[in-house]
Amino acid sequence: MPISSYFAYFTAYRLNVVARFATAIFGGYVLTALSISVMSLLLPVSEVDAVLFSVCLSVLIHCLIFIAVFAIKPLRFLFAGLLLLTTLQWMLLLILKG
Amino acid sequence: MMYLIATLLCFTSFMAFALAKTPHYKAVFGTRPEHALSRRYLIIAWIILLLTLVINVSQAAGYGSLMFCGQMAFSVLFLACLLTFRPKWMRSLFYLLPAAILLISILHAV
Amino acid sequence: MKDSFFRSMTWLHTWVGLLFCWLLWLVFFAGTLSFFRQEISLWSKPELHSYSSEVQSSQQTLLDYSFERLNTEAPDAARWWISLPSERNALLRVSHLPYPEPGEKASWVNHNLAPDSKVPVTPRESKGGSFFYRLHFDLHYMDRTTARWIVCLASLFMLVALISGIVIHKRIFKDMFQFRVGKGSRSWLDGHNLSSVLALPFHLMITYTGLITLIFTLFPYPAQTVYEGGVKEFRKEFYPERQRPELSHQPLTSPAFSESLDHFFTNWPEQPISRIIIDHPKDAAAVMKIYGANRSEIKDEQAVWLYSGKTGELLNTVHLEDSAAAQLYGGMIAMHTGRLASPGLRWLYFLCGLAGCAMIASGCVMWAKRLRERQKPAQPASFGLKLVESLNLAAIMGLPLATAAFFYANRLIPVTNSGRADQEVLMFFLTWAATALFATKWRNTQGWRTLALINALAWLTLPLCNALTTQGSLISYVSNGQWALAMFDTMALLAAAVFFWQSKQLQSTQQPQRVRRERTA
Repeated sequence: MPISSYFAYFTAYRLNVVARFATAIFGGYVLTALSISVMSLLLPVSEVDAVLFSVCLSVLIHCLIFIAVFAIKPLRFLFAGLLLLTTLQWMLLLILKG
Repeated sequence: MMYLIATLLCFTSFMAFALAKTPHYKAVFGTRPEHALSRRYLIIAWIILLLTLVINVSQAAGYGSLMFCGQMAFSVLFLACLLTFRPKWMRSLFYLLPAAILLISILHAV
Repeated sequence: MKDSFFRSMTWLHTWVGLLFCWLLWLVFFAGTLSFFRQEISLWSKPELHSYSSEVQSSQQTLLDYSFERLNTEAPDAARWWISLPSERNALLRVSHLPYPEPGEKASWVNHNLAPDSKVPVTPRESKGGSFFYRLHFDLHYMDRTTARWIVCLASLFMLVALISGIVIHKRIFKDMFQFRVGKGSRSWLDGHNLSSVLALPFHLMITYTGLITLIFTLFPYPAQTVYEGGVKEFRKEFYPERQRPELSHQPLTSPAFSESLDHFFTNWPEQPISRIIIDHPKDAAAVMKIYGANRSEIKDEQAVWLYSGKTGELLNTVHLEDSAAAQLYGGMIAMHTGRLASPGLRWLYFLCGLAGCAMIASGCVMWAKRLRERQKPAQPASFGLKLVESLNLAAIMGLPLATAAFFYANRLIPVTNSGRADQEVLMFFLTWAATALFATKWRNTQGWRTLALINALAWLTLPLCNALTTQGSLISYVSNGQWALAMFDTMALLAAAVFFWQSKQLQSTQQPQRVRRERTA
């Protein structure tokens, strides 16, 4: 393999990882924030309890998203999935809040 | 007192885990263990570990499980040090540990 | 890209670990010391050493005395605060907060008293264990909110590093007792694996629950969606005991505090009290809050009984029977802080915390070693490698040394100095800065060895310094049964032994390295 193509492969790989990294942190944060907000509205317990439950689960959700971002192979599929989930939850939140 | 017994049991369990592994067994006894023997050690280790968990949790569910985490950490650390620096000393533990557990149990019962 | 998931996990583990490893080292180190916050505070106030935590007087007599004292000393205060002695704190503290002058902020007036003789005790000004407690999540020289965000991010990375570490190194469970000494980077890997596996449940728990303690900084959104007023309003509902009643501007001529106390003692005779706070003791709106001491149950918030000061009736009880969600939340925080722990569990917590420190430190060192191995020996060290090596040395060896310096400062700075608490902290950071300066110049094994020896010396002489500057020493602590102080000195000696062992190890590894360097040159 010529050096240049090896280099290109390596850069592409790094770019891939950096993109996933950024998605996992920032995308994961936004998605988690949205999901726990929706959850706090949907949980059939008192307001205080709903808030407490959802914040307790937040870290777990963020971690799962983090792992998922690295586990799903095609980048396109990953971004589409995350975007879809985010939009859906955001709309749900808007509807719930009225 | 019960927690002390649990700690000793936990230690026993991890000792069995360690002895189920060929290199550690060899370091302690100088010979290779037979496959069946390793298996037996492994089974015993799991049984004692479960027993430890039961004892801890029966004392207090939350506090007991915290103790269990700590006991495991302590046991592994102690064993790792022992296996690294003085593996032969593990032999004496075969007598010391049961004796200590028995003694404390009797003291506890009295 | 075969096995790209595992490859990316490895990548993730390395880089996530690295970005924050020095900060995490600080957080873990300070957090581990914070498990002994009260004991460290006790050590740093030798004036308290002569008081034993065994109190003869009953809680009722102590409270009666405190009320009497506050009544004569500060009848017109905005708040009264009575802290009763506990197992880990031998003194009775009676404090009051005056009403602020217009345009000013009032500050508390504290009196520490020996509980039985009621002799006032003035301990020296020192932050003691609270310094490490604050350093653990508020850092220092920094805005509190920013610091907490940084610590949150670091903890999140820690959690990711832990999980990815488990994914990539499934082998770690296989040889978990293995620790091969003196085998170069192999030993470091063993050390890293051993320290992470042996306390893995603890590491996961402490990181997760640590994030939960700061969760309203990180994720205020559920509270903001559910409540109009956001987190503030949520807190108002979750912690009713933290609200202060409005002034009614009608004087309270005959307060019913003792009737309320009688009611409490007859209805909850088994419940020990940790403190009592009274808002507006001379106003008709006065409220007395009795905080029950938590015992070994896994909960963070203390149960509070709120009594009306005017009628003496029980207004409300808080956190007496928590809902499942509150139990979950409070339980996680309680597990993190470990305040519930009896000495046995506290030591196990400390041990696990040390394992966490070892895990982070060995990870840092291993990474630097890999970087160096990847570089051609003849090639001069790159800036990145130099930076990593210096930071490693400065962080890992500097922090224990700075801690020792903090304790020396506590003993050696004159008691009469004003602002001596801040001078102690300054000494801590100056020492650390000095180590960092040293590390920029000498990053090699020799540098590590020198710092290890300095550390060993510092920790070895700390009990000596203590014996020379205070009344007690390790021997007298043991003979008097002052175990907290005795253990402090023992730990210092143990730390010295570990650093000494480290310097020995470094000496033995130094020889072959020098040979290798000569061969390549």
